Amino acid sequence: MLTIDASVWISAMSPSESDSVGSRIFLDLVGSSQLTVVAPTLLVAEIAAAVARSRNDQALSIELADAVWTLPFIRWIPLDAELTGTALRLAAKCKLRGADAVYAAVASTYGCRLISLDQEHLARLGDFVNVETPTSAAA
Amino acid sequence: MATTLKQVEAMVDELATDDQVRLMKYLAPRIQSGSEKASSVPDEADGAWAHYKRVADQVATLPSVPKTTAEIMNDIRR
Repeated sequence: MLTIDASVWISAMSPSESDSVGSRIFLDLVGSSQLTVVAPTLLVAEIAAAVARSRNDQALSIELADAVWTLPFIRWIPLDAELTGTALRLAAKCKLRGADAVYAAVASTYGCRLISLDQEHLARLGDFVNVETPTSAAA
Repeated sequence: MATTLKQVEAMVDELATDDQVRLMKYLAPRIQSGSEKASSVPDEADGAWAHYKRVADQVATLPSVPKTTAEIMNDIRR
């Protein structure tokens, strides 16, 4: 199973960046194969925030977040007390930012590979979670 | 303890022929409905994925602020 950080979803919509092609190929693989994804509910808020702030289009940001929310192969995980506990421990041990720790906690709790472009995920989580870039995961 | 399929098969074998026919009539619409649901799942999933791709492509074509994904992520997680 996979947990996919918001950075991958955002990168896939930024065609001028070098990582974008890898993110698109990886997401296409996930979507066309209907691979099981386990994601924090935070993901849709981050997608909406990123699109609204970078494209200045409120309606489209909500439409995109809704489209991700209704993907049937994503299992949504709310930030409950147990997940909060795991996130705070990972945040402390790995010196992660709060939102980064939430994705790490979901991946750790559900035994998922974490697919991310976040440098702190990639550099600091290796002892706790299997972390890969989308390009590496698609290879 | 849950009933196993093997136990159900043994019970069905013990039924009188008339009851087996009644059982067939009971099961037929349920099997049909189950098959239809199973075959419609990939279609729904494909449709949802295609919809996501359409919206994501629309976002990708919009002019963006001159920021990388890393900078946008820093903005929304700061």
